[in-house]
Amino acid sequence: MKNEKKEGLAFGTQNYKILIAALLAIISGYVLMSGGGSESPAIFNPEIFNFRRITLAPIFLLSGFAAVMFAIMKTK
Amino acid sequence: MNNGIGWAVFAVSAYTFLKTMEPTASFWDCGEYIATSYKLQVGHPPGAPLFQMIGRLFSLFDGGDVTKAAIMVNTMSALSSAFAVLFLFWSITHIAKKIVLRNGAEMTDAKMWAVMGSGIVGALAYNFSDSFWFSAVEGEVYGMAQLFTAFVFWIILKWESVADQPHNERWIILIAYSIGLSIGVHLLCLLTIPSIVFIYYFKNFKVTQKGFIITLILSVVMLGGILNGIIPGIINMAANFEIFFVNSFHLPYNSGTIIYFLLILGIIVVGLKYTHTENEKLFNYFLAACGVFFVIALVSAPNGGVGTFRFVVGAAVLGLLYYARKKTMILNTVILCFSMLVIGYSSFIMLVIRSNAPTPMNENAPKDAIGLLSYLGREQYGDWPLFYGQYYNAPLDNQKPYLDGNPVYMQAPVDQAKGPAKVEDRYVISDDRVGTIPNYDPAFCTLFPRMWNSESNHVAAYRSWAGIKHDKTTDAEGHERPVRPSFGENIQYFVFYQMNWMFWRYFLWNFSGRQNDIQGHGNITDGNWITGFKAFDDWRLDSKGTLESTKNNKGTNRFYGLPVILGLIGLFFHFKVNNKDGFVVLLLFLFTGLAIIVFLNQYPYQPRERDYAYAGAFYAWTIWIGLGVLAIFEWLSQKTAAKTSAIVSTLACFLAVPTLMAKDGWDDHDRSKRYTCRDFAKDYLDSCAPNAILFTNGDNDTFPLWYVQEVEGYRTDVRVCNLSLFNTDWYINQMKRKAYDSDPMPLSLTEDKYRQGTRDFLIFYDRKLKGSIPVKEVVDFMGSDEQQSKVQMNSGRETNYFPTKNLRIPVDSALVLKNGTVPASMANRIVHSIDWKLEKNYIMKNDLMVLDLLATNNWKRPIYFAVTTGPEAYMNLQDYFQLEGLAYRLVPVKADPQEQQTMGGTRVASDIMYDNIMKFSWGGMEHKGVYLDENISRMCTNLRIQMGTLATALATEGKKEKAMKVCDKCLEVIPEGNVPYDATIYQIVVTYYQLGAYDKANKLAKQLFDLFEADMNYYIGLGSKSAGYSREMRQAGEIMNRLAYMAKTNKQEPLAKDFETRFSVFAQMNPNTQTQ
Repeated sequence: MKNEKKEGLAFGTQNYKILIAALLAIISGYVLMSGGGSESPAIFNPEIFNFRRITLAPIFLLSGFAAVMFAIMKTK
Repeated sequence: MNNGIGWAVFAVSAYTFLKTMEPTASFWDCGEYIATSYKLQVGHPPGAPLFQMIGRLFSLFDGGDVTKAAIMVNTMSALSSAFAVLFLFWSITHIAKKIVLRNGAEMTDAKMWAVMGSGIVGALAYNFSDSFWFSAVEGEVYGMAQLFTAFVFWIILKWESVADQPHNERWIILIAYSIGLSIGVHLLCLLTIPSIVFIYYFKNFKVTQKGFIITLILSVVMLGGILNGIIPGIINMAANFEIFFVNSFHLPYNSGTIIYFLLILGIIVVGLKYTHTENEKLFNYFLAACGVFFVIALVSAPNGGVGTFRFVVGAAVLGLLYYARKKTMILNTVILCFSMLVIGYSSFIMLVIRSNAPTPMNENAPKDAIGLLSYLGREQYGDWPLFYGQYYNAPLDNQKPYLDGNPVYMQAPVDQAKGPAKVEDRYVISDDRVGTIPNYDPAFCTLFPRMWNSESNHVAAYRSWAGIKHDKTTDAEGHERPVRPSFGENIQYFVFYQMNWMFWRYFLWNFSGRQNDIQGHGNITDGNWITGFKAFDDWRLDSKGTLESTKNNKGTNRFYGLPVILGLIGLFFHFKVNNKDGFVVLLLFLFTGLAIIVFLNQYPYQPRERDYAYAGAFYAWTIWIGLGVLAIFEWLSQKTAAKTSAIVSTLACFLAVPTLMAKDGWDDHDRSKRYTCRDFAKDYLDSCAPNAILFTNGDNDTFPLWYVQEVEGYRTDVRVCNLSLFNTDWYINQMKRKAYDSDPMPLSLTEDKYRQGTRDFLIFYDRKLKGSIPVKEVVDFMGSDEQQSKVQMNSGRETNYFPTKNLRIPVDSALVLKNGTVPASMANRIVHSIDWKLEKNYIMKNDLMVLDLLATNNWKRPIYFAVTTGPEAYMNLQDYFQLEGLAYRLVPVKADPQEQQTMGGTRVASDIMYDNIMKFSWGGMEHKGVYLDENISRMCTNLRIQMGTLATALATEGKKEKAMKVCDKCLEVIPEGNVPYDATIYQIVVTYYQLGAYDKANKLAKQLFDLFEADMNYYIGLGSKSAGYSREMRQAGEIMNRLAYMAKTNKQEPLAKDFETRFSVFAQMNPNTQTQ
């Protein structure tokens, strides 16, 4: 294995680790966001707008998207 | 210094936008964007999920006050725009620095000052430019879209200075990621790709003619590949995989989508692993996985054309990968760029998740890959030809008039007859789209078709823009035959309308001057570009002076062409000293400007001015405005000391361009005291009784209402139903769900009756039925799947139809009295049934649904039509309408002919409307100095019309005190200073005379007379050109004549005499103006 070549690639181990963490945050965001609707059309379920779905979830998602940027630009 | 001054520019920019932004929602799409941000709902295609999430984050800082959520979303726009200005500053100083250091020159203080001066002047010129400023102060996506564009352009410049260092690829990957993210806001950012490719090319390669051309082609292919390939393609293939796996292998729903994304993930991981280890075995796996992917993509392709395309692309990609197997460095960067683009793009998952919930606002219901595909495709907006297609008068092909579209799939519905048992998961066709795409006669098709829309008012405008004299002829048998317009006429339309009117005019608004804020369709008085030099403008427009009624228009801006001139200086200078960079900026200018024009292929009479779409091109221009400073600096420094030159050139340009633009632009961008959008929406809702159903039609009588209901929780008992959306199955489904306090809309038709492709429209087929038929029976008949209720079409298809135009709504008089539909005082006027004629030869799905509502509601809930929906929507029921504010209510009382006083020819429920109007809020227009643009002014004058109608009705009924109050209120809350008087104030004058309030009446009559007299003189002064204003002249003449007549009959002698004398001048001059 040519070591200097590996060094030349854009991402090192640390970048990938941050990237995976960021993706996990994004996935968690989507999981937190899901559901909440009412089964019956005659009933309105306000849970669809609860803290978990429209506050916590987007915070996870946006942190994830921001962390991807960090994962890309991070140098040792 | 670069950073310090940059942030100072940012501060100025942020101050400008935060100071002038609207303190609540704005018109057009803003109300919808704010509502979908605040509650993470699904807005109109193609969606802006990232914008919504960031908007949601900002709205968390509203301090728990729902009325402040909108201002927080607007703040996000303002700050995004200020950041765009900051990146512009840094981009200009980067480019300028390269120029002053050319040929190995040394940096000096003076040069540094000049570089900073360029940045300040250029960035602030953009900050104060008309189109960008407009979007910066409202909750629209354009501010953030411009931020992404500015950011990406700045990154590539940044990369340029580190291109020879290790890890420089990270900047490129960051660009790919940013572009991916930007898709979740707006696609504008993608148009920077050609510039990016050229910066890369100039930096890494020696420029040759061949290389230059190849790069140009490659950059366009890359842009097209991402825009038309990757973005829809990722979802398209997911949808194909999904149908393929579910239908062929009997797998449960979503398994195809999951397999698809796992396969892509696998390919990316193995590919990256290979580039790091260079293990050949891994490469084989990688290639094999790609192969499998393409094979499935091929088998699951919906038709042969797509299959062939995928085969070609797949073979090319596999070949390229094999060819590049040793170039692991490049392979690694490419795979990472692709992955980051997809990760950025993944924000769209939010829409799928929320649509599945489902949220009350769920436009197009993109519940799965298949739904998301049609969502992204913006299918509801129709299609237009680009490279090859029809002229507006093209007949259909004789042999094959219609082609087949791609079928629309859906999850197999539960069979009602067999009970609620679970059906096997599979996709079935809901709409086969056979014979749905018109196929035009090739003799009337052309390359690069520009005049393609066949709507009659568009055709008339095509003729006048392209100077078409003959586009039809009569053959020997006396039949009228269309004649193909010439290609020259086609190009004339392209140049005169699409390029000049719809791009260069906007460009000059921003950098030369703007006549007024009235939407222009090509005449000399509305929305032209000007210089501000009166003599020149009058000469160019062939006009004399200004129309009286637009004299005080705040939208008038005069920049004397200075930003154009400084930009031109910068442009020439840039190409002289660094033609490569000049070319890069030129590409940015062209792709965010004229390329959009070519792509949109606009027809005339656009619903609004479109300048906001080209803010990217204006961005590029301000780079040159900045460099203009540098050019002047270099020229001056040959004559005088360098430091003096730097200061003088910066100061002079600063005063002549951004300062001037700020000074003249401020009054027409300051929205800080404007609440019209929110308040008018409340007024619509407050025109309705509790639990009403309110039909609306356009953007501006719908989106603001959604905003006040969804965000501010105002009058959520009212069900707002937009009639154009009511043509779609997903919207009907939403209407049948409870939303907040509003119960499901009472509709009898079940989903299988109105699904896309079923009963999209019904033709009238006269069954010669006697008498009026109850709507319920007719709706049941139209909803029947029995063969005897269908008729065969020419195509051989059997379809439902409507059998009679004579319809009946039965009335339960006890019920309508009890629930207050009709007050006890009018009990004797309740009709036994509403028998009426539906004057249509075919009805659309929304008409069918309205009829269903009329049949099923049975007078239980109040039904209203907004005054802005227009007669088309009224189903010919006006005789039974009563005006109650900004909406007509359907009641079982027939209006007498003399009661039909409104614009729509209906009765006025004067007491109800009086109470409603007195409770209305007025959006701040009652305060001095609030800026109301043309769009809002039109709504204000509409309010004036409704108040005038009410006043007249009250006066006629002898309710003099109330009538007087309405007139006074109208003048008070819609003051002349903010909404100039026009014909809509006339009814108030009439009522004042009727009430004997002669002082008030005379004063108003005189103002109105003066205005129309001045306008008339302007028109007459135009000479032969006045022919184009015959309608306006007729109206002016009519009003002057009537005012004179009214003054006379009310015995206001001196005034009457004065009017008559002055009017007689015109009456002699032009017989057209005389009416009676």
